[in-house]
Amino acid sequence: MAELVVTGLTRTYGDVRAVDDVSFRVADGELVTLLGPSGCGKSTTLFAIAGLDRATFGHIRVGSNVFFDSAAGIHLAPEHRNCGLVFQSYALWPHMSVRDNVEFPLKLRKVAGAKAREKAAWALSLVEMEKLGSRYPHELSGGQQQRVALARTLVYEPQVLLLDEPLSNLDAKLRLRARGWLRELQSRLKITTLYVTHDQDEALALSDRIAVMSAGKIVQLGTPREIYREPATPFIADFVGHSNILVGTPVRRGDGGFGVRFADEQTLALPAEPQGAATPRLQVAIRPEHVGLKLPGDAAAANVLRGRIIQRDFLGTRFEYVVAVGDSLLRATCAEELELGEVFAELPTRHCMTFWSQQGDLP
Amino acid sequence: MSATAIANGEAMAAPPRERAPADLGPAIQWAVLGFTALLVLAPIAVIALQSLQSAPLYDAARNFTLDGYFRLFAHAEFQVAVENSVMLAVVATAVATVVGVASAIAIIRFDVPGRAWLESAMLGPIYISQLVLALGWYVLYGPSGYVSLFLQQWLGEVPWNLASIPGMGVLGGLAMAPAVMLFCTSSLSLMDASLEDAARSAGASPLRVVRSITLPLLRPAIVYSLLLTFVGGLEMLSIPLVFGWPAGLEFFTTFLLRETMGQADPDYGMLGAAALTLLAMVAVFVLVQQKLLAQRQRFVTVRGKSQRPKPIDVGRWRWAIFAAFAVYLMFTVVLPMCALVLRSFVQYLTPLMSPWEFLTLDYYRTLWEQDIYTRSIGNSLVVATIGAAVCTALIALITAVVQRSEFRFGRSLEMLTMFPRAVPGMVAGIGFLWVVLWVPGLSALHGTLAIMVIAFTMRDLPTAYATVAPSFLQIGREIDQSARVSGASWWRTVISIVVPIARPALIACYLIVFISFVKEYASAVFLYAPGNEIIGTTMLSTWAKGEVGPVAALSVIQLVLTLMLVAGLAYLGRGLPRAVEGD
Repeated sequence: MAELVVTGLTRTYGDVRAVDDVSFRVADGELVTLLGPSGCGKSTTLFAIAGLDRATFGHIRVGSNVFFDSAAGIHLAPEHRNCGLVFQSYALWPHMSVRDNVEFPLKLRKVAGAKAREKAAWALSLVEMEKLGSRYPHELSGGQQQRVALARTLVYEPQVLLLDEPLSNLDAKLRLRARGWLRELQSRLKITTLYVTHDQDEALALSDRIAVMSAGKIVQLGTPREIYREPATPFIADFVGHSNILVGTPVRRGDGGFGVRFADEQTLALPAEPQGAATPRLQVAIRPEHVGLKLPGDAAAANVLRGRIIQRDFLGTRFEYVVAVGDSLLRATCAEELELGEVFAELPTRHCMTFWSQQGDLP
Repeated sequence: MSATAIANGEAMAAPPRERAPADLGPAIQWAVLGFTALLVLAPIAVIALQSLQSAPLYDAARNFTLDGYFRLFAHAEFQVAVENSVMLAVVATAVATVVGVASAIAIIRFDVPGRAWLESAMLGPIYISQLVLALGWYVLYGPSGYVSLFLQQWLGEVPWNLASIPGMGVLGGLAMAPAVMLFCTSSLSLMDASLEDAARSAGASPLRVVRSITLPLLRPAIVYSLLLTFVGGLEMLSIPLVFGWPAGLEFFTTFLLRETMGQADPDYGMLGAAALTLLAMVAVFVLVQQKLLAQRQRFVTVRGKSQRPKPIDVGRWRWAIFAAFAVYLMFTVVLPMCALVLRSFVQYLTPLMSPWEFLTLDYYRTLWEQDIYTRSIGNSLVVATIGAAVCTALIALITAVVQRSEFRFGRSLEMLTMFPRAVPGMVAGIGFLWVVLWVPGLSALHGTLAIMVIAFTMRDLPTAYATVAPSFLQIGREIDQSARVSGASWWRTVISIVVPIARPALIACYLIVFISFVKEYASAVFLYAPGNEIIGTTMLSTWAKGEVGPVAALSVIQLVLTLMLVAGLAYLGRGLPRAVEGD
């Protein structure tokens, strides 16, 4: 096993830069996730690493093995990279049984006879599919196909494992279970893994580190906790955790603390000034579960905005509210059932994430 | 034994790069392109070259000249032949289009009894050689045909003259109507039925729906069929030969045949010019047709999951329409084929005498006893068995390169593969004859079955590609990508993954090409010599000698062979959908 290093990877289609100067490193045995909305370039990056797509610029290597180097004109054919790629559609070969599917990569590596059977049995046992070896792909459920696809990839112990949204075709319950054993399997085999998904829950649950991508660039690279707690941009705060974003102007408060004033003259206390160069406008992000709702006349609450509940959805364990504050809408979840109408929304200072407004940011 | 023990054991490397004899992929791709280009372009190139020379290509003392073209266009018989061919094509186009479009609409759209059965019966003649159809019609409706003589007896005259250009045009149209119908039925079944239902709800009568909705939406298919049948009429050989030759009517194709075969010292320059002129005329129409076909997508409003078309209830008319089909099929297909079968068992077939008194197995005995007949049948089987395999293998390779590789000239290869659609069979035949005669080292191929296989393969490339390409397209890209990432080279992926998945389509392709090779005659008339005759050429030469009996018997044998293969194809067709389901 070895580390995967991607440097300055760029893929252009005409004028469009689908992947724009992407660099990252996946340490030996680490699981890194590329997380982003569709069209952000995460799958293109994955395919460039697998060799199925030829990048325009950059450098890709695994250990000392150079896969791609635009400057030196190196582009290793996919079959010579010894990567394992699991497709979103699983891509099981329909004319081969489960066992044949798993043994085919061994055949390509001139592993035959008892050794091949043993290897295939091992790979199938990893995914608990050893009993269904003689079935054909169309005789399997989606979850079973997904596990066979993984076994077919693990059987030849690839240097790196590449997973392209492998759980997205499973139903919600199965996805949760598959996530669990995928994580368990990866940490047991200690295989260097790059995982591509648009599902933040998957990314948070599985990853050692997450690289959030947007418009072809990596916008933040960090542990799940860092990404969730200290998002680098409002986009990340919104994409990971569906934060509310409010826009206002920065103010000094009477007590000397930092704060924000919104268009309707309401103000909030904020933990600290955001990093970076100051701009005239300020964005405040807060997750729905951190917003507290208080009725007028309730015990005094600190740091509140006055608003109106305009929508209430029942989600079983909790309610989700939409609160109109000035011209903005604020989403909040809480267990209590409240009536539509006047309400105070409490935004605890420590949960408020602040950013300077940049041009092109979310409003 | 713990799993991790194995996992932590010696790691496997990627399949060795050094041991494999370099990557075969690009070499194979270039080889396929080169071979296809040679196969398709060599005969055309030789014809083009010859048309610009003052003497045959084997003659060293020749020079560049346009005289061939001048002599051709000044040739009185050529002018008449072109005129006749165009007239024939115009009449045939009109008849084929009317019959084909009307029957497609009636069968697909109207609530006619036994629609599925009628559809196969109407499309069936596609599998019958035009030559055999023409012979069947000749035996019944020709100048001394059974029905003609019968009417002569009762009415005192025959109400038609099929040995005329309009008569032959009608027959040509009937021969090509199934192809038009096939094209329109596929277009109709793609059409969204709710478009017609909407018109019905808006108050249109069934007839009004056909006129205002169905026909306009079918327009691209109709225009395409017009061009298809016009080209078919121009390059038609069977009916001009069977009906026109005895009546002394000359057509483009018979002109070519006579000028090449009937002359002691053929005018090669003029022949080259004539062949190239025919090719150019056909090619222009085929190009127009492909342009139109590309735009056809715009007319397909809904595809895939649209509602299954529901036939329009036409009330009492349904039986009238059914009867019309039954009569039509009876007189154009069933009776002529029965007459041909009967003709092969009797010495005379005439309404004046009961056929039962002249029953004979002589013709079949002749086929059995005379070398030329047994040889022809054997040769046809060999050419079809081996040739269809060669053609299918080549098409599998071509399709793999066009659709499944990053080969830079994939698009060009596809165009080359489709190009023979514009090459009339006779032109291909002349081209290959001259290639074999005049390219040094190839003369060993003259008069062999190999040259037949080569010429027929070239002719059938477009058909075979059209059969195989859609199935290849249905195989998801990630199916080969996953093989590549697992360590398989491009070539290994083609052999182990793509071809096995496409196997049903390749088998269907083999059968279709086999049928086509058994039927072929147009390109073979220039390529046969004593020893490599096939059923088609022997039918023609025996017909020319005026021996109708053995020709009928040969036709019957060809029909039986074809029927058996069509049955196989139908059986396979039922299994097809199962094989293409991917995940």
